[in-house]
Amino acid sequence: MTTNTAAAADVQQTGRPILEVLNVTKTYGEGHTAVTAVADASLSVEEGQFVSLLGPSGSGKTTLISMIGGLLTPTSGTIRLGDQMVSDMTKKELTSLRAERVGFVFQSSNLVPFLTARENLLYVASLPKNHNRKVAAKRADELLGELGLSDRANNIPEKLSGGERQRVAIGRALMNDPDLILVDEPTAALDTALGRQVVQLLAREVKQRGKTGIMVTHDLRMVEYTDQVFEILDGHLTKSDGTTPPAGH
Amino acid sequence: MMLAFAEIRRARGRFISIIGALALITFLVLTLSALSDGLFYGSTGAYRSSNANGYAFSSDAEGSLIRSRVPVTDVAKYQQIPGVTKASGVGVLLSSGTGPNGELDLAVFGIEPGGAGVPTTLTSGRLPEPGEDNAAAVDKTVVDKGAGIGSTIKVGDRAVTVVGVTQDSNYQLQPTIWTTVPTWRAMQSSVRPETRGLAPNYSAVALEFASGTTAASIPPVNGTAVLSTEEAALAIPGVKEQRSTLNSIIYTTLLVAALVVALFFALIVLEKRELFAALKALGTSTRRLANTVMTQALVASVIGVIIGIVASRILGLVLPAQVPTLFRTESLIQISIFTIVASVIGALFSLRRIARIDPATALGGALQ
Repeated sequence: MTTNTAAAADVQQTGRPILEVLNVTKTYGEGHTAVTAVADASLSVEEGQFVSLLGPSGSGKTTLISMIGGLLTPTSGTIRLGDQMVSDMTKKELTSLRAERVGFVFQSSNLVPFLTARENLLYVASLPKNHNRKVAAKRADELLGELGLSDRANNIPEKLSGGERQRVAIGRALMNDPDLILVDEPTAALDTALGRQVVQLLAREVKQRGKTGIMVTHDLRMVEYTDQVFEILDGHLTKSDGTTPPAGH
Repeated sequence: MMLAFAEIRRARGRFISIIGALALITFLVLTLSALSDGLFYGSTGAYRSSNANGYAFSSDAEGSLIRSRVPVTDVAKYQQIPGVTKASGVGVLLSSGTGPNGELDLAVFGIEPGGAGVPTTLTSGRLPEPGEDNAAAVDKTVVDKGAGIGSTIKVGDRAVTVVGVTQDSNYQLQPTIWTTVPTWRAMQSSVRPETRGLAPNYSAVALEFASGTTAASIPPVNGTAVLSTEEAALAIPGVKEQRSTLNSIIYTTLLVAALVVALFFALIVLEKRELFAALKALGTSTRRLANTVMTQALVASVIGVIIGIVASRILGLVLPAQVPTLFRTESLIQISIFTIVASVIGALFSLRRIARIDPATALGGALQ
């Protein structure tokens, strides 16, 4: 985790944001059938910030977050995470980047159904090239404890409630001590009260651990837990002060 | 590895189905192969156990000992051909006989002790001596039917005493008894009256070659054709046909094994597209997912093959002796390897699908 400390020192010294998205455009197709999913988007997030990205479905928010997380490559523009240019990476480099520096929380937890909660955490720990089993086992137990899942650790997802599953997914996202945590509609499969708990937990973990978090949501009620709000509509990204309801809602 | 074994352990049901299918396929192929080997070995034992390198048949016999008839004088002619170290007359008679436990179907071989065409698979006792016209060695299958050294076997009006036992020396699925040429002739004229007036003859001439000589390089004596012992074994009516028929069934079944595994893993991968996309998004390489599927295919096929082997051995134990089956270790190893390789090849087809899964689909859908 030397890159982490280096990046952190970098930010403290220069005030450079940990994540910087500059003039990013993503176009699908060619000629007059071309569709611009994200047009000239720029944003920057400081370490320890939890931001939300609001927008109706089809607005380009998933495309944007996918590019930030190294799942898609932008058509133009640059994305920098710490000292790494995500937008210049090959597929193989992106795979290691995601394993080592990005944590994901998906809409429907997407845990491995035949692995226990604990094994789901250990699985992602085995993805980076240099991994230590003992350290991973200790960290998994700590995380499960913090997330209140110690006594559920040896259950497979089928035996867990929706909220518990999402908490395991959060644990999985934190497992490799990533710089960036990307959260995709975490409340989609949960009721309001449970959704609120999960987002609160996410916000707390991001702050406490000094991570950077981006949450995609169309649920305005979740915005109060985030430090910055971005809105995206038809591929155009704007920063919102969070007071006026975003278009489309 | 973690994913491969955890899934087999916790999602046992679906793997039981593929393991069961592979076990049944292995069982079927092993049983067919045992039948094929049983027919082949039971038919050709007399040749395979023979010390002869080749046989001269009458040219119209198409290599069949039963149809062939050569004059006695041909033996001397073959002895003079360079490259032939031994030439001996061999007589064959398919007939029923009487053993200690009643009637037996037999193939009587008249041989010249010390000459060519003599079985080399004696397990106890001895072959009849020259001139010992009341003795015979018998194949182990005759012993299985109640005969033993010292017991008497009668064919027509001639009786012989068993003096030795050979193994794997049968002819056309008939148990063989090995006696002298004069005894064979006497038995033949006793049970086949139509042969009584014929000039003295043999069924064929067994030949032993000097090293470097082949059956094809021997100029045949007029009215005869020379086949190597291997060619003669395949020329037994039906042997080649049985073997190729059963082999094509076996290869078709192995193809089915590959298809079954291909289909199974195609479905598994299809069903897990969403999960695999999420795992790729989390930073799992395609190679690691491919290894998982290949490991599962290997484990399922190895377990399936083991169960298939056990089942076929049990069948082999309960099958009645009349069914000519032979479970050879060599065939077993070969078929096990083929089945496992077929499964692995089948699973390889799903790798392209795994490679095509786009990790970006794990987040909401790539176009949103």
